[in-house]
Amino acid sequence: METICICCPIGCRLKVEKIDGEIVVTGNSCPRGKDYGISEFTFPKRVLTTSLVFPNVTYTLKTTTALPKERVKEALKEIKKIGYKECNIGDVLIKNIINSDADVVVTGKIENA
Amino acid sequence: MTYDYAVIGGGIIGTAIFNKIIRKNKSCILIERELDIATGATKANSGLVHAGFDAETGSLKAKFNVRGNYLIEELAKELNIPFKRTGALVVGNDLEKLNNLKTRGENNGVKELEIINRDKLKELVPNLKEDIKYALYAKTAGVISPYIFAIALAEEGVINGGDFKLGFEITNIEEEKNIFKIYSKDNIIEAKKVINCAGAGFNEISKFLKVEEYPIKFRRGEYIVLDKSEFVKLSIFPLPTNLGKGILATPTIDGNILLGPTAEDIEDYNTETTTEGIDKILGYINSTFDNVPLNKTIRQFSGIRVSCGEDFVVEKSKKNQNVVLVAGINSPGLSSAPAIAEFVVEELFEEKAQDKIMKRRSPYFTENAGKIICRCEKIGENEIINAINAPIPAITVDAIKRRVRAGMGRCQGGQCMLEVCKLIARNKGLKLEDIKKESKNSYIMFKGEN
Amino acid sequence: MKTDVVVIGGGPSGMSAALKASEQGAKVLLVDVESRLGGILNQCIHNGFGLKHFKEELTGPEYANRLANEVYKDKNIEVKLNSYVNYIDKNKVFVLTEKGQEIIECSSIILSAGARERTSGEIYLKGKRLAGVYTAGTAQKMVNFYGKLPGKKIVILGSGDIGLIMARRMTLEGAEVKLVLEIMGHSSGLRRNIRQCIEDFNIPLLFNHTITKVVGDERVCGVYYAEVDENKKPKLETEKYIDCDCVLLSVGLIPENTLLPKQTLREKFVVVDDERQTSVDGIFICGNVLHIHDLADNATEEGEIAGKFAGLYALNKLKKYVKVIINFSNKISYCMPKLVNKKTEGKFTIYMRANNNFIKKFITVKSGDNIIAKKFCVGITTGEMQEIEVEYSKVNGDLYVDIEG
Repeated sequence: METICICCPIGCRLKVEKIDGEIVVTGNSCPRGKDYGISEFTFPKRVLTTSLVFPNVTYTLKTTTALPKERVKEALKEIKKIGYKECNIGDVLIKNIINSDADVVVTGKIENA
Repeated sequence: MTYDYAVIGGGIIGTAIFNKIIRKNKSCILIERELDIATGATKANSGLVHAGFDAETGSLKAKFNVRGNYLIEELAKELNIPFKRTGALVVGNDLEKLNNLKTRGENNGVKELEIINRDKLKELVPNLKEDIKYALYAKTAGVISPYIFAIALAEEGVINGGDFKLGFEITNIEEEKNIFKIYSKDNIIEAKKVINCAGAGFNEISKFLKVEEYPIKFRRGEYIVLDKSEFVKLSIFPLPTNLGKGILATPTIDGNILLGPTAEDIEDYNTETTTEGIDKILGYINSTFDNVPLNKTIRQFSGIRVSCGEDFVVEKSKKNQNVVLVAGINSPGLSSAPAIAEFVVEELFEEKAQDKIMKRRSPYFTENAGKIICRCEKIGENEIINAINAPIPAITVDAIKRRVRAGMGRCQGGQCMLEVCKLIARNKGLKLEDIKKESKNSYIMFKGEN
Repeated sequence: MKTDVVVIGGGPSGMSAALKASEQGAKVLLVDVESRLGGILNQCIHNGFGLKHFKEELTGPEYANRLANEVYKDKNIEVKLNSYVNYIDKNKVFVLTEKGQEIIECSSIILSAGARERTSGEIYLKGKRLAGVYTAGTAQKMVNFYGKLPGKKIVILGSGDIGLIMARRMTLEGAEVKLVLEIMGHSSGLRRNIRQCIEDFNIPLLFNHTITKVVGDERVCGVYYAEVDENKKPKLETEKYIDCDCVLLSVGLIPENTLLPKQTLREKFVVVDDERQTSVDGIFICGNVLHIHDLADNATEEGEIAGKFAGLYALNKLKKYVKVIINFSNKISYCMPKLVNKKTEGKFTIYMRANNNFIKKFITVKSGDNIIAKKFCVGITTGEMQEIEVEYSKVNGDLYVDIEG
């Protein structure tokens, strides 16, 4: 498989192959790229970011780690169900969303946007 | 109530007539289909107050233009809107044609016309190409904002007792015992006399009134707008052809530069810009001027000129003495508007009373502008709120733009459009997704499934 | 009011500049037109920021907050929000606030006012002026701050990073991105954004294509688009139509540098030296208002340079040197900075953008016939800024940057 590493802006062109039962990543320029290559080959994951808009405040959110790629939309639906609550940057809004090991945390708080 | 007059069409002609009627102390209502004043031909033209040498001597165009040019100066002062006699030049190398234009102008009653040579030309227009040798210089020509002019006329009328209805789409008109009943889907307006100045919608209204219709034709003119610049300081025309006054370069009253218009006869009312049109403007301008600051291009638009024959139609209907028809008002319509209004009200309707003293309208701009919302044009929150709460409220993004210029600058609203939407929503008790750009279905945001 | 340094614009470069100027011992006033610090980062809610500067992957708001927290902690920095700089005059900054105009006297000025998006008018987009045509950044704010979509069926013109990011955001929020059109033969955005924003969602991306006309009645209802020839003119025989209710433009950013005094030397960009000082003494410039950065981290880096030297300038500690010029080959579209102070110690970085895509080449910097810096690059693309470090002590006359090998 050939892909582009999304870990940082360099965007290394990765080649991921299974050689003798072992997954080999080439083209990466750091260890994160190797991990990404293996993950992309076996079980692609993505970080989800979104925002929640309430009358006087908008919270911007992210998942603390990447979610299984095909379940990102499902996670987004969960997030959109959250009703208003007072929170601050860094607060966890949902723990282990869609039973993954990712939490949804507040990354920004925009009052009267 | 039954109004003395109903003016149908809120363009420059309608607003000028409306204002004039109010001055005669008569009750009047201004009826406009769109959500704001001046959204048709009035918002999309060159913004020029012509001197009056173009039209054939003896025509209504010549008469109203020269008179209008004279009236505008005083009127603009009174309305507290900017107007400037920048002057205009018709440039070319055919001295005979230029002299003919000059003679015609003089016959029309235009003052201060002069043929100038290369030296003077270079001084007035340093960016004009060297090979252009002569020009007819008309010092009385000027620039004005056509939509601000119309809005101010309407506002002053409203402050002084006039009524208005925006978004009033006429579905039928009936006449009973010399009273017109003007219907929309959910409303009726009654008036004794009616002026049809509905522009592109003229024939539609005439049908309802059961009066004369005219063979109305559309001619599209495309323009390029440049950001504020000193590229030209007065309006530069080529020698006129039978398609009109040709492509010009002119400053606007706000300091922008307008290049255009093209002149293309079209079947349907369509305000799109085209590759051919824009290329034509660029080709002409680049062949006539040096140092064209095209890197300051901020917008293109097109406007529709309506015509029904060579001259304006300004007359009483032969079928109904209580109806006045104003049709085919293309160039020099803006320049002629105050004179047309004067003629319609004082001559055709014989309202001979002295004009009453009008209460002055207050400007949107203020010392205390508040937080700057439009960065390109430096427009403050309080100024936008003043426009929203004006006698004729601005409730669309484009209505705000026309009144205070928020969104008129180089970023074209990229940075302030959402702020403007928020201010309209907050001040009018609307939801953000209800805010429109201009017309009744032009929602800025996605509003949900239909 | 009086201060040492006025920083205009509180985005990543402005905040970093303020912090660095303060570090030199200068009193700093940081002015921003918005009601919060952070600039455009606040609306960039996606992740991928900060790996270079904070060594950690952050979202835009997090990156902004980290810097903002440092700024607010710094006793030497005063922050003035909701304040619009009307104009600047050598040692004076004229600020419009809700209370009217205020004049601030200072010794040096840092302009970090960012960029604006190129508009439909600047690319002569044909058709009617309809509701539903917006720049990608406007749409980004609409969705992320107000929770509103600009449309439900979207065509994106241009493949700049904001456009790519918006393709993903719109898709996740329930809109259908029908097409992304790019007039060039390659994307101007980062490769990883093509991967994670376009390919992840199977959005068609057509290179060498552009919109020929926007149609609709009151809102957009569709666009015509076509392939372009080598002169970027549409080939009309390839014209097609697609239904959509929204067109987003991601066709470039333009430095918003109109505040600079008229006499400021400008070429393709404002001319600066390695200290980010303009040709007007005491006026420094950094971030997207100078040139467009791919990353907030790079804008921060540039802010720190401008901040440091503007601080020293204000305190009368900035030394004068002879300056040399950085020239470059036709493989390079521009180098930043244009001028270098001929110092004897330390290093400086030349940032550059290539004109074309290159594989496995060297970036070289020559002073006379000597190669004084050389760097191997696996891939160089037009979309990605390259950088190369040079030692001041090796600079001996004007420099020449090239891509070789």
